[in-house]
Amino acid sequence: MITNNLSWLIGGEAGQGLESAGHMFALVLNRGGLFVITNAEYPSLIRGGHNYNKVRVSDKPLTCHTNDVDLVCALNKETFEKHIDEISEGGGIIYDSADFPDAKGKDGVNLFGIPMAELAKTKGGGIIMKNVVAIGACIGLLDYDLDYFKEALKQTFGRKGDEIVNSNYNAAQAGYDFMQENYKGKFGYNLAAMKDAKQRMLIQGNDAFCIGAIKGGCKLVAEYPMTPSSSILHFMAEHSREYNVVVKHVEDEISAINTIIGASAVGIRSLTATSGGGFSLMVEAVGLAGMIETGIVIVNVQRPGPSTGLPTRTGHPDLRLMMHASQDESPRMVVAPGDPEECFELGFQAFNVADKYQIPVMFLSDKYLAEGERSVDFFDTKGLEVDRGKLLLEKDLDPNEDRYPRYKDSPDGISARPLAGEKGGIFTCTSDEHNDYGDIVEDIPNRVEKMNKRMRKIDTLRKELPAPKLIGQAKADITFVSWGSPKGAILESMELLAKDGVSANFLQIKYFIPFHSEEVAKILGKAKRIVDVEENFSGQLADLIREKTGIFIEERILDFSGRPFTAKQIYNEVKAGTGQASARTVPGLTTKL
Amino acid sequence: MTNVKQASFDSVAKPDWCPGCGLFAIQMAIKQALTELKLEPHKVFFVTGIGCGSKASHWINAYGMHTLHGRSLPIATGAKLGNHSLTVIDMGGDGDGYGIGIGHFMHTMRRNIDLLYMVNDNQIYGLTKGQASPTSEVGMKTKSTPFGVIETPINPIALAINSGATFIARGFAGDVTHLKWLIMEGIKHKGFSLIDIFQPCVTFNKINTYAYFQQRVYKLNDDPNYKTNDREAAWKKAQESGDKLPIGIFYQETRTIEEEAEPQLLEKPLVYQDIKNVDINPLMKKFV
Repeated sequence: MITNNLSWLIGGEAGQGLESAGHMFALVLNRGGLFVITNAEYPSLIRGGHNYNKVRVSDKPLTCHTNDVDLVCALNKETFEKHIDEISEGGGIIYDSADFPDAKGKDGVNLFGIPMAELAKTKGGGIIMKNVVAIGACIGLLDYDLDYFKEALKQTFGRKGDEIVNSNYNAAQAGYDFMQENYKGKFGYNLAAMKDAKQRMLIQGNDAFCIGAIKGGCKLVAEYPMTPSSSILHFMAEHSREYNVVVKHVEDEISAINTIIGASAVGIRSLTATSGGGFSLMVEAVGLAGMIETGIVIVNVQRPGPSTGLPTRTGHPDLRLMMHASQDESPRMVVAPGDPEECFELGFQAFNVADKYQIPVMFLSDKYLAEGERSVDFFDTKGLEVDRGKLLLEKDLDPNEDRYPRYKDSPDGISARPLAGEKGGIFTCTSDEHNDYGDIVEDIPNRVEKMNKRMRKIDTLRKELPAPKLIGQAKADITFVSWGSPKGAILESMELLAKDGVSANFLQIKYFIPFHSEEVAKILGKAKRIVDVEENFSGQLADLIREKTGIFIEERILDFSGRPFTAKQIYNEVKAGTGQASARTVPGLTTKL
Repeated sequence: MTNVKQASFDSVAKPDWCPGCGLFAIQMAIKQALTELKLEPHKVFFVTGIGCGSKASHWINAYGMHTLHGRSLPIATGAKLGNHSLTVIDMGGDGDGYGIGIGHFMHTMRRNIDLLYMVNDNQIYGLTKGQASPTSEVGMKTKSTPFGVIETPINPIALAINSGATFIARGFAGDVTHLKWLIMEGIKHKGFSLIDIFQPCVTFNKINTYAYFQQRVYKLNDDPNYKTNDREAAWKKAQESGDKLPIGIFYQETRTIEEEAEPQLLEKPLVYQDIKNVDINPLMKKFV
C-alpha cells in the first residue's frame, strides 16, 4: 500500500465544475496536513473542450506536478480515452459506468466504474452534483476522511441554505459509500490525514502576489482583464473595501498603465497586471514612467504567444520584451519569482523598489505559477518595512520657494520628490527631456547629466538587491540555470539525479535588470556542466548571460509547448544529453553564435 | 486660505507658441479663473497630453504633468483617485482628445470623475505642422489631405452628451472673459466637465480664423429660455454648424461622482492613508 503519495487527475468538459472539484479535493488534503500542488490545463472557452485539473499530494513538501497519474477521475468519455495511457502501473481510473458499460482499460490499470450521474440524480440534487459524487468517490476509494470534504462543502454552499448543503452531503456520501462497498481493498493507494495537522495555506501565485502587494501598501489597481492575470484583478477587487484599495477595471491596457502612472505621480503606490499582449499595449507608457521617474508595478503573467498564442497555457517568452520595451533606454527593474513564497516576497519588494527608485518594476510571473495552488506556510512578515525613499512632505519643504528642483542629480541617481499638494514643492514633470525643475531643455550637458542620472539608479539598486546564489552543493556535476516556475521541476530533478549518483546544483536568476553580471560569471565560471532550462524558444536567459558575462551555455532544455516542465522531463533530457532527438530540447544551436 | 494674487500662477518660463496663437488667450483665461476661485497653486494639478497647448503645464505655476499624446485623461483620473483633495485640470488638443485618445475621452465621461477637461480645438494638427484633425471640416486641404478632407468631423459636444458627461461647454479663445467664466463653472462643477474651445491656429488653419468665429459665435446662455438641464435641447444645439455656432454651457446635471461612489475614499484621500502597518493575517487565514 502506498500511503500519502499520489498524483490525481479530474477531467471533463468546461462547465462540469472541474475547477471547484479540483480545488476542493486539494483543499481537503491540505487541511489534513498533507502537501499538495495543483495544475489546471484548459483551453480558452467557456463550455465544452477537454479540461483537467491535477492534484499531486504527499506528506513531504512538493515543488512540481508530474505527467504520470495514479488515479484519474473521468467525468466524461474523452477524459477516459485521453488519459488512460498516462496512468501509472497499479494506478486506476474512476469513471461513470453508464458511459462505458464495457470499458476496456490497459494492463496494470484498475477500472473503478461507478454510476456517477445516476447517484447525483437519485441521491444528490441532480446531475449538477456529478462532480461532488466523483470527489466523494475518490475519497472513498482512497480511504480518506470524508468529513474534510463535508466541511468544505458547507463552507462553499452554506450561504445557499441547508437544503443545498444537505443534498451536496448526500451526493458526496453516495460516491464515498459506493466505492467503500464495491472496491474496498482493491486499490494500492490510500491517503491519511497527518496527526496534529499543521495549518497551511493552499494558495495560487497570483493570490500570494496580491497579499504581498497589499502588505506593500498598494492603494490603486487599474487593470484590463487578460488570462492568466485576471485573478489579480478579481482578488484586489474582492478585498478592495477591506483594505481601502481602489480597483478599476478600465477601458484598455493603455488606460490601465497611464492611470497608475497618474496615481503614483501624486504619491501613492499602484499596480497593473496583464499578460504579454496587454503589456504590448502599455509599452509607450513604460518609457513615460522611466522619464518622469514615477514608480509603478507592472505584472506580466506570461503565456505563450506570438499574438494570442496559447491563451490559457504557460511559458516564459517575455523576458526580452520586458527588458527592452519602449523607445530608447529607460530605467526599470525586471524581476521573476519561482514559487508562491517568492511571489509574496518579491511582490512586496516590488512596491518598495518602485517607490524608492522611482522606476517601473516589471514583475514576471507565469500561468503555471499564477494559477496553480500549493500548500504553503504562512508568509513571514518579519523585517518587511515600507520604505518610501526620498519623499518630501510639507515639513521638508520651504513654503517660500516657488518651485522645487525635483530632478536634481545626486550620487545615487535618486532625486528627492515632493508630494503633490505640498507648499514649496511645485514642479512639472514631462515626457520631454528636462532640467532639475522639469522644464523642457534640449542642451547637451543637461541631456548627458539626466540620462546618466536616470540610468545610475539601476547601479544603486543592484547593490541593494541580493546577488544570486547556488541552491545545493557548491561543487556539482551539473549546474542548472533557470528562472521563474521551472524552479520547482529543477529542484525535484536534482533529487532524481542524485539517486543515480549525479550531483547537481541550481542557479536561479530572479533579477534581470539590474543583472548581477560579476556574481553570475563567478559562479558559472566554476561550473562543470551548465544546463539552461527555460520555457521559451531561444533560451532568452542563456543569451542574456552570454551578453553580460561572455559565458556561452550550449546545453539548453527549452520547452515552448505551453505546458510546464516536470522533474522527470528535465531528468530525462539531462540523461539523454541535450541536442538529442526530443522535440523539447533545443534544435538550432548547432551554429556557435 | 492665503491671499492669492494673480501673479502666483505665472510661471518662470514663457510660452513658445506662435505670435497670435489662441493658446495665449486660453492660458490667460485659465490663470484668471484659478485666481478668481482663490485656488492655491500647490493645490492644483495640471495634466496635459502632447501638442502645442499641452505645453501649457510648463507655463502655469502649479504642479504639472506633461505626458503622452492621447493619454492625459487616464493620467488625470489616476491623479484624482490618488489625491482627490487636488484640483485636477486636464488640457489637450483635438488630435489628443478626439483622435488618438477618443477611447479614454468617452470612458472618462462615463465615469464622471471630478475633473475639468479642456480641449484646444483648432481643427488642425499644429505641432506636427499642419495635418487634418478629427474636427477638420469636410473639404479642408491640409498636408495629409491635399485633395480635401472626406471624413465627417467628430462632434465633441454631441459625443459628450451621449457619453454621460455632466458638464458640457464650448468656449472661444477670442472671448477671454466668457471663457474664464466657463472654466470657473467647470471647476466648480462636481463631476466631469468638458470645455471644447474654438482656438484659431494662425499658422496652419486658414479657414477657422478669429474672423471666422467672430462672425458666427453666439452665446447660448444669453437666451433666458435655454435650459442647461435639458438633454434634448442640448442635443439640438450641438447639431448647429455653419453660420451659427453656439458657445457657453450646453448641458449640466448632477450625478454621483466616482470619488463619492468609492467608500475607500470617504475618510481621506488615498495618499494620506497609512500604508506602513497593513495587517495581512486575515487575508492569509482565508486560504487555510
